Amino acid sequence: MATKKLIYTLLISALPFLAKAQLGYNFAQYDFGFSGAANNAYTDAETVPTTYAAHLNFTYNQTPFVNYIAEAQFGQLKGGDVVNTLSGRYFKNNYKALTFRAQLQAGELYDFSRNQFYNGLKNIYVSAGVGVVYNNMQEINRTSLYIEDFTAEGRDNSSEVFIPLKLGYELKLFNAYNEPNVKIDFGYQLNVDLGDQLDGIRAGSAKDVYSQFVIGFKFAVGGYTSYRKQIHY
Amino acid sequence: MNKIHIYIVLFLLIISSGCKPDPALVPANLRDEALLGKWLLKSVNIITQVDTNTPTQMNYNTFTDKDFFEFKASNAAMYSSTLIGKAYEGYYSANADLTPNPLVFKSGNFSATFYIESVTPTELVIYQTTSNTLAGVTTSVTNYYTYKH
Repeated sequence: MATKKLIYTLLISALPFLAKAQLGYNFAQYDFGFSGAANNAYTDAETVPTTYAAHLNFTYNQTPFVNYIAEAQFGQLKGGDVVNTLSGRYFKNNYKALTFRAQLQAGELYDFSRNQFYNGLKNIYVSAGVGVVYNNMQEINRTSLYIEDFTAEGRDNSSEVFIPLKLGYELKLFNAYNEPNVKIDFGYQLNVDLGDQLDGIRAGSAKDVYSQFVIGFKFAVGGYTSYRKQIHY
Repeated sequence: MNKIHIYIVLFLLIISSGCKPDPALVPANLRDEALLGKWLLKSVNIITQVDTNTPTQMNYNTFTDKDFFEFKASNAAMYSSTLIGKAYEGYYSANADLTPNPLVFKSGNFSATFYIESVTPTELVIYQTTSNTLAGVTTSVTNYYTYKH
């Protein structure tokens, strides 16, 4: 009987060893950020110059490596040449866009804590979502100077749904408590328009697309919680 | 580690496939395969009609090998005239949806509009018409240009 009591007492005493204590790998669940983008629009116009855009975003971090991003874009898309292309197609689109993306970083998928090389790769991410772009043509030409009747139809103002796909690297900067409180984002985003009016021209067989090289900053704004494994190296 | 590699490769494939403009193809109805080739001007027949009077005709057939139209693929074209003293490189359009069937040649600021009267494998006849009314008298002049391969 005494032996039984002793065993129970030891087992109960050992229970605290099974409990998982707060590890202290904290991160903010909410980030606010801004970024700049260099745009190229691949449309029905024959030349593809580079234009620019500014982005504002709000991120909900489910974990440090699984993120949900709501973003507003304000920028310009441009393409074509009235004189130097046969079609004469030309557009300048001062657009606005709203996107929602889910983002998965490599750090969520493997343990990087014991390998410096993997640790460097933990911030690589892929991202996809849905967006809507509001097109507003400031300048538009749909008619060839050179071939009579070679013209296209289209709309000066339109809104279209698109699929944003992004590949990038989110460099995390840590504060004194090893919490990632500033993030620098380098990414390439392809926005696949489900319509054909990014250029205000309805022609050809393919839908319009615009790509973006993005550099941005994100700042932790609160909602601190802890993660199951080490975030910093 | 393999999962992220697969995602990245898939993304790169998608991204690389989407980055090209849609080719600006000239609509097929603006081309006429029967026109392709070099056509030498052989004669010009000018018909003048004043009101309802009997039309008068004049015919010219002293042209050189520098009087020609050449139509190439993708609507490229060349127009040469000894009367103008110049050859022009540009583009043509023959809108098959319109009647009569126009033939428009453009090269920079130079533009000429004709209408196709007939086209066979060996002969192309095009024309231009002008009409003018002065003091109630209408004068119409139609020039027929006959080209042969």
